[in-house]
Amino acid sequence: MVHRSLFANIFYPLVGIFVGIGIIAITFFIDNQERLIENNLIKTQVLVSQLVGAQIESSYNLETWPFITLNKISASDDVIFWKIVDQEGYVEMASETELWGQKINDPEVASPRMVTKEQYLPDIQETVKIIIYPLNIRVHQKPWTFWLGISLNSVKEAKHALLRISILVCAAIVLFLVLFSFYLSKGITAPIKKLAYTAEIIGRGDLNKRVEITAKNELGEFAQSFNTMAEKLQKSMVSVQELKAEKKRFQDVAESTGDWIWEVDNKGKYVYASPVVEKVLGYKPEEMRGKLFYDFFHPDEKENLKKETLEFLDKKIPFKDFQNRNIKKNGAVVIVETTGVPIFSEEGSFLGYRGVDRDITERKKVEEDLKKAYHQLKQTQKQLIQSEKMAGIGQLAAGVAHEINNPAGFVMSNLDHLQLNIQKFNAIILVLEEFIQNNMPQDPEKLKALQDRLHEVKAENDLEYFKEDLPELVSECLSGMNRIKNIVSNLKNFTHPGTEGYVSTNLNNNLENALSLVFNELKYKCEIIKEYGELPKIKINTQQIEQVFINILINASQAIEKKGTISLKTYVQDENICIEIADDGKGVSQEGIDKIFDPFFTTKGVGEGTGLGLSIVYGIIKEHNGQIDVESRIDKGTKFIIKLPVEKKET
Amino acid sequence: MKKNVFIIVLMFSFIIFFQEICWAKATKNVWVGNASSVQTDVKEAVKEAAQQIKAQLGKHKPEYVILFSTVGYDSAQLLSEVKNALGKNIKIYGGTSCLAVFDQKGFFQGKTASLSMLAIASKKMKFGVGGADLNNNDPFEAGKTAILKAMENAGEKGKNPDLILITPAPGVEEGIIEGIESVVGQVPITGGSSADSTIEGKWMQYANNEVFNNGVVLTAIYTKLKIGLCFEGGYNRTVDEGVVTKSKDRVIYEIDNKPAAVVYNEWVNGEFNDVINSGGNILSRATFYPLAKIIRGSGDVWYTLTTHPSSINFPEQSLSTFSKMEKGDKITLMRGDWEILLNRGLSTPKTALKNGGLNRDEIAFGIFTFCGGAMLAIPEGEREKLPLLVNSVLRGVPYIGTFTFGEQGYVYGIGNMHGNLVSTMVLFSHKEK
Repeated sequence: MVHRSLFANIFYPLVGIFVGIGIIAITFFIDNQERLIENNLIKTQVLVSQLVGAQIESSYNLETWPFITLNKISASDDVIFWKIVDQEGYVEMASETELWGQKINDPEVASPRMVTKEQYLPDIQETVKIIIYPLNIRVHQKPWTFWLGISLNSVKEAKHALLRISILVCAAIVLFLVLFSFYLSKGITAPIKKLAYTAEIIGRGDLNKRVEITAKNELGEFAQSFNTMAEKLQKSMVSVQELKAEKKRFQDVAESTGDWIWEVDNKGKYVYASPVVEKVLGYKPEEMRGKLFYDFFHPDEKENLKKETLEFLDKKIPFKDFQNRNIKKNGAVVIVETTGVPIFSEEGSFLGYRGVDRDITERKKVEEDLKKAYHQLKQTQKQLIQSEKMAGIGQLAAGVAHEINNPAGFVMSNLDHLQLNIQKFNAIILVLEEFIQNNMPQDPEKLKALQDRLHEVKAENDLEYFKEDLPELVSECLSGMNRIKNIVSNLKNFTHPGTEGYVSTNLNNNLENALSLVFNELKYKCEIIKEYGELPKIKINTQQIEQVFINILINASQAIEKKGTISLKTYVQDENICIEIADDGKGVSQEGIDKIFDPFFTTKGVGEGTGLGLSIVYGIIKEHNGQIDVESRIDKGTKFIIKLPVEKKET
Repeated sequence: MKKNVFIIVLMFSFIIFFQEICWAKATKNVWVGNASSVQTDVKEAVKEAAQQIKAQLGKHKPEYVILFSTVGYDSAQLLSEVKNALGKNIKIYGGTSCLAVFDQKGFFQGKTASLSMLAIASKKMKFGVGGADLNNNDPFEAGKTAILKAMENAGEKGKNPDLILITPAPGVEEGIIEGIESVVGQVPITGGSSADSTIEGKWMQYANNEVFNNGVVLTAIYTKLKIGLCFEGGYNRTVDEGVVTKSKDRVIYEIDNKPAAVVYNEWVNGEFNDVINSGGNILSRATFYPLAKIIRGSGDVWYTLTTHPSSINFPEQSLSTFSKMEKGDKITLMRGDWEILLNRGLSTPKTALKNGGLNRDEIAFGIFTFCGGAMLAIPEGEREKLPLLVNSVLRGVPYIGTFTFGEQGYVYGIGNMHGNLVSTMVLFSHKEK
């Protein structure tokens, strides 16, 4: 197929059309004008014939000829000849004197009405129009006729002149149109060439190339659009490249990752599966296409999983980390964690799902192992905590013993005193028994003797004082015993891992309990400043939390070398219950702060601490979803800020 | 019955037709040969024309020839050649023409000269040619002498001719006519004054062997054949009229007691303002504004005899003309154009036919005299139509034509006159009166 340029396709046909139209127009125009001119000529000459005829008639009556008029007729370029022919055909007079007196044979001689005809004249080799006009000169009722031979040369000349002018005009117009066509064609093709050239360059990869067309027309708009398209293309190419890179990245990821990327249609049939599927399920990607995703579920779970997953499809909602067991091609079980999102067309119609299956068989196994390890760790942790508790007991023992000793001492003292007084009561009781045994002697003497005796015994044993002191002694004993009981109870709770779990409590109370346990440790060198706020109850492991308080309080105490202050402050802030325990002791360095919650980290001397105290504190607080922060400055003191969420507060 | 009537009618028609043919043959009384030539050489010219004439005449020997030529030929040789060509005894009558000669075949204007001859052979006609010199005779005597010679030449001494052809030198035509009339009375005279092509007085008059440059030649024609005459001006008469109150010969001094030139100039709307106060030739320009003497004919017929003003004379502001004006003559301004002049080619022969009561078919020949001044006023290309126009009337009848500087003619009811810018024609019929 011959290649022809767009310019040729536009220009030459346009030129051809214009030239064709020009030729047709000229032909039609000339032909029309020729007929018009000829008709006008004939009309004019008919009028001339009529006028000359009238003049001839007038002259004839005077026996003259209108030579001047006829000469003017002869002088006309359009008149070839004129003749005045009598009724018999003799030429009475004619423009050519040779014809005078000649007889002509023509059927139109003596024609009673005007006749117009064409006749070829061999002598001049021209076809002329002849107007035969009957004159009002009659002989034997036959008219003379005036013959006017009209040359059509003027018509031809006019035609030729018109043709020349028309050709010139048409040539000018055609030239103009050709130029216009050229300009138009160029105007169309040049920008298109530019566009094609630019497109070619862009096609070669130079996306920076732009069309420079400033025309404010459709081409300009086209060029603008082209440039815009090029820019978009450039961006698209970048995007494509990015997409390619992304795709490559995706492919690399998809092929290198252990995750199997998939896509299913709205019926659940796989339309895409990354190559990883072969590793996960043992099937090749192409084998996956068309298969339903639930066909791979483990038979034990298939119905439930199918039901569950089909709900996703119905609801068209994303799902995440949906764990399911699948049967591999080789029959093995694989556990996958599926995450998927629904995909929609631009029109919003649901197309299916796209997502990732992660083989978590190993992870699950590891998780199981981890669970076990965790459990063991927890057990170990508990044991460690217990060990820490026990270590704390060592520290507490002296204080606790002292605490117990005090009440025990004054209980013992009171009991001794009570024992002593009970002997006095026994003397009275003996008197009373005697009195009872004597059945209440009626003898006044006896009665009096007994009463004296009773008064004597009472006086001897200061029974009145005892009677007043006895309730207090008993009360003190009871108090002392209760105190011991409480200490023992607290100690018991502290030293034995709590199994009671979370209970709702006011942390102020727990802080007080902790404080009571370590009070002996603190009271000689610390001034306790309390600033308790009103706290909501929250569910905590009271034993663990109190252990936290005790550990911090003991640390605070130990940080104060001589005499100091421990400030306790509780308040609610940002949905957290905050407990601040601050001392003005020696403080901890920043380095120490960074490691302060690390296990086995301690600033105490060897044998003084296990290094697990604050680590356990940290673990307990974390277990309570809380937070613990420490601020410390050397020789200024240390402040622990514990924040426990109030989510678990009881409403 | 009807068939018999038809046959009888057919026979009568045949007889009548046959008689007509026989009559035509029987009544052809004049044999005419005429031809023209533009040959430069006179001998050749004459030879050319004569050959045609002889051919036309056949066995008929011409007795008389009318010869009109332009002034380009040697006149004596011309006459000699004519005699040599047509016979030594042939009577020659004629003179010079202005610029050209013409006949029914056309207008003949040679490079140097042209001639036209019309030779006649007829037992019904007698011709006598006579001439007289005006240099040695007064016009009256010249006329008288010439007619007497012509009558004698015709062999009819003492007998008045039926028609007199006249070719005088221009200038004194009225006197010549008077002289002729003094001999023959009111015999119709027709002809024209000889002319040259340059108005230099080179005109000649031919009479047999004689050549006059200032004379008069006449032909006295004796015949019983019908003759038709025409002498017409053809101009249009205007309302401008006056009476000559002072004149002498051909000079009008006063019209209505006013200087004639002034009156004339007023009539022509100041056409001659350029010369009215200086005098000058107005011959050419006055061709279309001639004056005419109003002459009463027989009964209530009025005739206008045109005269051609030739110059305005200063300081008297008189008007010279080419014909004699007398005190008391009523004159009028005539107007015309070349078309009117040319149309005389139609009207003059027609009038001649009419005046002679002639039918076109019976005409034997004709003589046409046309004013040279009028001819010169006709555009050059139109002049050739003049003979054709005549021919269109006469349909091939031979005639000879000359351009003259003054015309003489006979007006029925008035008599013989001399005029200017006039055309005359005489037609001769084969038929007798």
